[in-house]
Amino acid sequence: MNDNEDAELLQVFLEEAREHLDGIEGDLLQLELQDDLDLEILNKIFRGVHSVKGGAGFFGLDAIKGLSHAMENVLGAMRKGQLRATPDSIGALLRSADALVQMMDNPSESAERDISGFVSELERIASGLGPAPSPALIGQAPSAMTAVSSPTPAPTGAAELPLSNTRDGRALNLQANSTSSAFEETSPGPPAAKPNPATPTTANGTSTESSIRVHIGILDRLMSLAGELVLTRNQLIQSHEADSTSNAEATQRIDHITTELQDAIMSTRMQSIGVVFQKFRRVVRDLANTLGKEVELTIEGEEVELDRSIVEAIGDPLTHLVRNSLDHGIERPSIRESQNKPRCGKLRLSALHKAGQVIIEIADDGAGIDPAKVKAKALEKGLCSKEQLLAMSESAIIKLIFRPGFSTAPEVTEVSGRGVGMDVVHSNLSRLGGVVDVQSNVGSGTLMRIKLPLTLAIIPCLLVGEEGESFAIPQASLVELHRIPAREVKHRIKKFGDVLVLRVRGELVPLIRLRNALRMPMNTYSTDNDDRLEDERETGYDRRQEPSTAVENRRDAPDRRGSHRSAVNVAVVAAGDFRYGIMVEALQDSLEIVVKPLGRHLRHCDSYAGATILGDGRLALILDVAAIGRRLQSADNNEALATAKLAAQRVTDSRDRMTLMLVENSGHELMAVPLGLIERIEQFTRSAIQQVGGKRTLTYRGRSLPLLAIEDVVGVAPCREGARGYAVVYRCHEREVGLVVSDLIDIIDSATDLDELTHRQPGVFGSLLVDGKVTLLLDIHAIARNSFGLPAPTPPEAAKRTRTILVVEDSQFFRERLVEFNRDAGYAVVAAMDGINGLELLDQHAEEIDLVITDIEMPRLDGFEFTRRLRQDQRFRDLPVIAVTSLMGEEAEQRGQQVGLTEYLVKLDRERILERISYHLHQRDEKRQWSAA
Amino acid sequence: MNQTGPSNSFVPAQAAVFRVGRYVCGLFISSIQEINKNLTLTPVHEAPDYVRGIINLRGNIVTVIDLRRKLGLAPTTIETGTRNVIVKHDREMVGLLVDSVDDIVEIDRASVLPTPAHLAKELGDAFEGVVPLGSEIVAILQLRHLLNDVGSG
Repeated sequence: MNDNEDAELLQVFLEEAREHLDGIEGDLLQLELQDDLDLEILNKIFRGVHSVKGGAGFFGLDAIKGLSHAMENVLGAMRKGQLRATPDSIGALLRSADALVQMMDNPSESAERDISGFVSELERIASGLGPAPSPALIGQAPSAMTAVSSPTPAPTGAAELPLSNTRDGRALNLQANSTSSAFEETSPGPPAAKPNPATPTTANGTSTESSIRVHIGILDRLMSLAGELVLTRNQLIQSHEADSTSNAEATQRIDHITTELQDAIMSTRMQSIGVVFQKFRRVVRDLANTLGKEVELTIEGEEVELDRSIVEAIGDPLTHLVRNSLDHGIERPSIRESQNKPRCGKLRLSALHKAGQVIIEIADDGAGIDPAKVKAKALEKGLCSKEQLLAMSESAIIKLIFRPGFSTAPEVTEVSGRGVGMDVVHSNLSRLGGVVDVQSNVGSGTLMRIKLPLTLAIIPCLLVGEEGESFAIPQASLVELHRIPAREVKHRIKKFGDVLVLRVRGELVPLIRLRNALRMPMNTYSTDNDDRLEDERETGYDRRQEPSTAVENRRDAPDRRGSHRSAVNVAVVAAGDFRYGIMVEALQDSLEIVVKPLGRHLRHCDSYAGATILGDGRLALILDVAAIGRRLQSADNNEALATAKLAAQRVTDSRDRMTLMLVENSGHELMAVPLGLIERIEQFTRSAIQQVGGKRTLTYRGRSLPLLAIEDVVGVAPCREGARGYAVVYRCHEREVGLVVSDLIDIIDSATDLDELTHRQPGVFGSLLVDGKVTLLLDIHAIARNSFGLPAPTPPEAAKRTRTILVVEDSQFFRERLVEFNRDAGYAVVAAMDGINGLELLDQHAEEIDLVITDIEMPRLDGFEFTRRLRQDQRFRDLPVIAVTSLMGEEAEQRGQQVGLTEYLVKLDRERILERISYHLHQRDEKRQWSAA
Repeated sequence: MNQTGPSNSFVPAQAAVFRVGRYVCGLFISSIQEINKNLTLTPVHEAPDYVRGIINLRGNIVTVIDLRRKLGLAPTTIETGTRNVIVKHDREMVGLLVDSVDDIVEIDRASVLPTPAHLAKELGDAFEGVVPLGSEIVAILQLRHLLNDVGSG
């Protein structure tokens, strides 16, 4: 044997020895649990240790040999009935086995390891209850391979040759180098039982008896060949369908065989989850001891099979969850007793197949997760605001534990609080395409449920199209799909700074065009640029692209008009906590694909997670959603993204915003008019103005429009005399009037943090800052009333009894306006800050309230939900509910109808609001009279 | 293999001779898996500019490299003569795009001469050496160099 062969043999020995030791751990734990000594298990352990000892002797690994010998002595005593499997003795054996594993990891240095502590402990145990069995075994077969051929005279007479090895390719190789008697078996001694390959009896039966080792590369190759065969089969079937003369029977048979072959090859990648579950017997035992807790572990569904890559990766997250259950979940025995629970806590680890997925559960009957504590922690860590928490359900609150930066342990403990939180578990599982869910009841326990795909080699994907190419997005990272009709594009997709965002249910999601994310060259300028968003070419992505002529051409293209003739498709994806949308030209199929790696020359292209072969033989690149997301958040775009986030915040606060038209009168004073109140704008020439009886009128299209001057009512400089001017037309007292301004400046979306004091005067709501300039927000109805000398409007039929109106509005400004003009109109007003507050008040004043005016965008409970809930109450089924909003939209109006809103009106349109209030109150009266009659 | 030369030191080996722009290149067939017309390229955006894309070669995803780019020439325009020379390098199959494949010839490995200075200066280690063949000089490609330095164009 040369050195090479030696090294190879040593590797084989070490590999085998590790396998033996793996099995030993589970077996020892099993022995500890059983009242009656299970000889079969004991013998199995003995054989394992014995082979380790023999091999170590052969390779001159004396420390390993010595320790395994000492273990063998203890085991031998047990076998003879001289020693019982006590926690003490089993513990010593387990620790020794651990030491062996460690030495095995570094065999060359194993000799230096001090094993005397283990050995003396084992000797103490062995000798404590009788003489150790024959020590003659030590070094007895130094020249024989793993002692397999030595006719061991040991009284115990174990089956020296572990059967499991004989089927092993490498093991066979080893024995071929050994003596010819390698296959002979010394007859087992009386207590030893032959392992029966057909029935692996113990739960831990490492049933290598019926398996061989195959290099994973070969399996992968078989997989891809099978995939190829499937494609060829498909082509064959297609051509057969076209040409009926070909051999139908053979085609059909090939079809069946191919399918079966593919299934069979797929199954070679599967491994039972028991491999992972078994480890927890030890983990739970040791941990319970450390923590001073009593825990009974139940394991179910060990036979459930998963792709081996998943089995390998699931260990860490599971360990974390199990540790958590023991550390934070299951209480100390004394506490449990005081709560009338059994002293011994229960931990259940189970796996089962369900709907093409594997579900793993970790359930304990411990203290459960206290939502109150989670809330407090979330507030403290700033993960959520108070308002957000109030609106969350209990289960949503418990799920906060998966947020980064959250850890419920009050202090960092050795066991589970080591800086890695549940968020790591969450993200690790997501990477495997898994989902984790938690259910918990205070006092009765916690259930963690993990859903995993069966395999990672075949993953469900959505196929999308861009520039005529296909790309696959893994379903696991897909959140939702949006197809935005052309007419809604302008409304739903906005540009903030350099970042495009999509409005999804009030939230803003950053958007990126796939072409830009991948920096695809824009070479097909002519085909489909109609449906492109002009804006997106100005995003941060474009800027990084070289200003190619194609881009320039596009910019100047005649059809670049900002109108979108086709719909926009968006796939919203999640990369950890970061959600963003990918805009694509086409949403294609949903299909299962086989992931194939890309070559070394493409390893720097981190936008891709691999490639796949489609049914027609074409290739599709698989998008790495996390990597693209990272780049979207990276330095180049940080600024833009921050802007978008700020913008997002501003827009989420849209409840406090309104759209204003900025106008000028004299050229240096900026004024604003709420856009919602304006009917239209008329441009006029001075010559068209007629002065009649001190009143100015504009005659146009055969009609006359009374004109109002701002300076007549408000203390501002008079209107600049120019040839042209504009009339802002609005309705007041059932007629149209025009407010004269010299210039229209802009339409802006503005906050309503209004200064109501400084510029307080008739015709002005207050002042606000627009781009650093003080701007007066005009009360155009007051201006009209003042100009015409009209009184504030009162309800036509001064109420016979005082009517009460509930105003639900979170913005102070709008709330005060609504309260004010309703009071002026003679109504009693009750005001609420948001939907929840509104429901409370409604309940308290159920008999008094005659009508409700509500805002839509509000924290905690918005206007839609408020209305929906209100309608569920029998008492309020016919109560008129008027929504006031600064934004009107088809969608919102539809939604309003669905939840039972009576009417939709524009904020600050005092006249119209009062008119409709009066109308609805009247209707209600009539209805009541009618039903009373 | 037939001995065609008189010399004892004759080490014959078959080599494919193909054209890449202005160069006539050779590659011993021991490193060639196959030569095909599989040019259904799927582009990989963000890839180095010498990567033309990927192809499906009987279920394997194979990266295709534009040899012209690698030799400092303008990108290959795919025409009827264009071929994909599939080589196996470092346990990975890679396709090399060439303008045309001329012939399979026997070359005496011992007759490989050092790369002339002007070529060596231009292309560094792209060539293992050169062999005169008729009126032309065949430059033997050095795959190790061509396919190893990932990242540079």
